[in-house]
Amino acid sequence: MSEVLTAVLDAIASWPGARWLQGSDTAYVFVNTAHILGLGLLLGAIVPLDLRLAGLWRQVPLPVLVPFLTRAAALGLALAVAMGLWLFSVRPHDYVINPAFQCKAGLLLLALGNIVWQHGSPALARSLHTGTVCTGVRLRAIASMLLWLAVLLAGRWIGFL
Amino acid sequence: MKDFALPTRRALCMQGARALLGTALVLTAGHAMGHHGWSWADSEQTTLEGRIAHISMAPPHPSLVVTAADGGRWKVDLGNPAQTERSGFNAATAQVGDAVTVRGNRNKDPQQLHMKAVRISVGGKHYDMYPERIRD
Repeated sequence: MSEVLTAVLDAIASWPGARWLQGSDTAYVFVNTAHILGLGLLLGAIVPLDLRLAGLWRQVPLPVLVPFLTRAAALGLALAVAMGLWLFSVRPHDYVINPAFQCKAGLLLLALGNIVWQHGSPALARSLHTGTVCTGVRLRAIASMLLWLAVLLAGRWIGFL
Repeated sequence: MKDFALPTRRALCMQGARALLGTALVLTAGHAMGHHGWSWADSEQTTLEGRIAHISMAPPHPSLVVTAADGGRWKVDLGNPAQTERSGFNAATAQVGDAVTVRGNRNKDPQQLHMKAVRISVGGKHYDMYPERIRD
């Protein structure tokens, strides 16, 4: 590990929030629970949303479903990322060399890029108006679901390496 | 716009597929199954003697780095935070440089200097992480 990286990780591990969790198992359990709650909200919203966009449950109206589930997923994502970064700061030196963590970080970036692509493209808004989902939106929805499930799997794997 | 979007989309799909494949490979390789459970560890117990190079009491798993007589740096997983506390071992028990004896199960992969402690001994005192598993 390079000296610069080690210095950065040392700094991360010594911010007051990390110090607190390093010394308090109880606080750690609460933050860990909040991280899992974030995952639950994110996956619980994004899987049905992506399946609807991919072509299931066509009787459910998109203008109702898409904004609602998108906001729920965004809330879950914000919580999961904030709590995840906090948990990372407890033992950053261990996590950066953990292959499952590295995989998770890469998959997370792909999943976030996919969100930017899906919501940045006018195709999604057009689908809400017309009621028909174009192939691009559908493929990005399927990619989204697979990526988030892969992020979940890689994340749960961290403790087993 | 469409001409631009098509190759980008394909490129991202390929990238995603490669990342998923990479994950699958890493995850199925599984040669270093870590601190949860015992299936990754050898069923025989061994004893490691050395000096403590690093102590981490941070959750989710307290751990030590122990330098053996031959210079090998071992990662030693202790019990979970509550088990470690019940053993009597805490942040003030030992210091870097102290001699330590670790009884436990080492990783099945002989390349990995990694073991899970059932008992550690520092200064003539035993700290039993998994009392029911200790076999001499």
